Amino acid sequence: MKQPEPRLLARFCRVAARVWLGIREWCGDAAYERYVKSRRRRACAATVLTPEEFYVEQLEKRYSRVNRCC
Amino acid sequence: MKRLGAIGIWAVIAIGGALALGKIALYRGEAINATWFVVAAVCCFLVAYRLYSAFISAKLLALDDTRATPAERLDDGRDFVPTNKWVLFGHHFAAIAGPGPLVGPTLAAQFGYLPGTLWLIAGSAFAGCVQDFIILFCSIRRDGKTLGEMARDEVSKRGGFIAQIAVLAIMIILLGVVALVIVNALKSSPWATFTLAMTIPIALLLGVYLRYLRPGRVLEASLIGVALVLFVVVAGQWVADSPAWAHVFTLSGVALALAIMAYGFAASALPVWLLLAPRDYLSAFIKAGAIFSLAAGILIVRPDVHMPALTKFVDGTGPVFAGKIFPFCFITIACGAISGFHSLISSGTTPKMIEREGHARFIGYGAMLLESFVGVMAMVAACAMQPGVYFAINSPPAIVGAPGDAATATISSWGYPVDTATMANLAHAVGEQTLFNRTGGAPSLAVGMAQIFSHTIGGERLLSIWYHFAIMFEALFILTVLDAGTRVGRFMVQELAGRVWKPLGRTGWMPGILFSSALIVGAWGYFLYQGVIDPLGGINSLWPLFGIANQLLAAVALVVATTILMKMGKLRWIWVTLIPTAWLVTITMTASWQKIFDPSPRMGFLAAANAMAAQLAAGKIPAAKIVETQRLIFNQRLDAVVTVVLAGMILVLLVEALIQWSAILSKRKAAVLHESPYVASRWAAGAEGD
Repeated sequence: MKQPEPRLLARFCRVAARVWLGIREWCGDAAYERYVKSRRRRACAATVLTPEEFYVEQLEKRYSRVNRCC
Repeated sequence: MKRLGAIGIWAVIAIGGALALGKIALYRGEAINATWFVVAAVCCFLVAYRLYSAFISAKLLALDDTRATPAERLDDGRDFVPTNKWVLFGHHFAAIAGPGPLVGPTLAAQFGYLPGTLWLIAGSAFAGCVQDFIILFCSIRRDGKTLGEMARDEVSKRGGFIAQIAVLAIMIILLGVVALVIVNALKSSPWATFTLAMTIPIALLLGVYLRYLRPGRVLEASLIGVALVLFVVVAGQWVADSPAWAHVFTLSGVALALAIMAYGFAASALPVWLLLAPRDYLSAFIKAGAIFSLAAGILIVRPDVHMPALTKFVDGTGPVFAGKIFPFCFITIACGAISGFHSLISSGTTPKMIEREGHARFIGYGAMLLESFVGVMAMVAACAMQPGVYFAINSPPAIVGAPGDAATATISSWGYPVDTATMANLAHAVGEQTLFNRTGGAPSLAVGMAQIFSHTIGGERLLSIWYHFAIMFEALFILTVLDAGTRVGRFMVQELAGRVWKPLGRTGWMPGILFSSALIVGAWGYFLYQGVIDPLGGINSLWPLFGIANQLLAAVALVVATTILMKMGKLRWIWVTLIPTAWLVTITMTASWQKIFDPSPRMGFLAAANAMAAQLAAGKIPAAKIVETQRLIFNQRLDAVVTVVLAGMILVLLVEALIQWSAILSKRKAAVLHESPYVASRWAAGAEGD
């Protein structure tokens, strides 16, 4: 059987990885990783919340304002 | 050469859209294929996006990718998070897509397929998308301020206060009406009631999993939850087939209303991670899956649309709801074409996450186009069934007669043949005891969706599973609006109550939480209860009230947008928001006037109250029904007062805005914009326009 072109395979893997990341970001799975990155970038790692704290804080904020429509 | 090619492609899309639109507008045969609807909608939306939204971006808003957005300037990884535009599009669409675009077009199908379809396409392109896009832009330029804050800053303090009160009032009506849609869908249906009830323990399980076992692992938890929900959809059949269990889950309208109120109270008062959030995750995945499946199903099955282009009910005598095509087609469609509620999302979370100003076009305008496309698909699903069946499902017995031969005889006499055996067979096929008098739009949409799904996968054997999947999808969708809305309403009540007595404003104080939750649930619960006991099915009076409220909020948003554009000096293009504003004010004021003062008891709230009061005075009401009749009279008068208050609020806001506009135009007042100062974007060098 003919093997797929290595460049084509690499491109497919890149696209699949981006789609997977997009899905994780859309549903909130990647929110904590993003938050930690942001804190590190701003050099305030000392005040980084734990995953549990971050999850509950995010939910409290999200559901205290209109976030679902009719 | 490349440019010529692009012009050629867009010309083909435009001609295709015009031909398809012409076909559905002019065809008067027995049935028309749904493909024409899909082609018309897709081509018109593509052209609207390519041309009209580009025109608004360039001429009206002058979107500037060199200007840092709030997400870039204030990036904290929590509220302000620069987000990929496709991901944010998904977030924004999930937030704006609610049950309205599914239920509204289904109800408006009583006028025929044409008026609703045309308004879904034109209304979204020229009004709904414009509102979402411009409010999103305004909020981005103001660090993500809410609609109320922008109304206060840009129109007047009173305008801001009115907008805040209008949002609360509209939310209460909205929650009452959508809850009524669920009650009517679950009434006397043990299968559907069991399925929906089981989503509560599933959500609790996911809540604990996400909080303690795998914090924040939403994807895996949601997949487990979706699998469990699909299992309970199938398991519902076993419950319905077991006489003992079926009895437990066969509930009356009043019992269901009380259960839903109890649920709303619990979701508002319990910690958000326990019930509300996990249910929302479940709903988001099922919503995305069901909408995608419906689109795919319509494209694969390409069903024929049997509903005529126009029915005789354009004259206002329709059984589903009273009112002529103008203004009630527009009021009923509501969210599918333009929704005031979207302005709350466009001025809430989304502006804090947008990476570049240029993305506002794709997210604000584009997401609303997709929402409207969902509305067109709902219209197709509702119109694909035989019109007689559609009217039998959606008509209350007070209009068509008792379920069975009386109802089918009345509906057939209108020229939409249907017989009792057909209805009985259909009810049996979808696993329901009856499909007569299932007002509210959800059951008929579920029948339409199930017919499309079953033609795609499984055939007649799976019709009942697909029907209950569709009912579960709609109900889950609505419960998510209900619980999230109740919680937000609780915060609004606490904010207002805190001005009277400070402790009530503390969002962590349990007595304050319980008090405000009870107040908000009691408020929408009252509208729900009055709908449940209404002999005309409730939807007849409450859906128009919801539509009026929703469109009034859209008018508020467009007034704010017009004021801001005027201050920006965009007078030449001000018609872009001014025409939709004038249109919305016209339809809402006409509808409000007719709902209050129309002499027909089916139409006018006061006429209905007076007719019942006259019957009561003449002693024509049996003794056992006197208390109920008095309550119905009170409810009709209350609805009239609510309509007056809503219309009054928009008129006051309009006068405030007119004073402001006159002062700006006559240069008596400086046009001061409350935008955040310009800061250059770090990403400007690599900025790509849309």
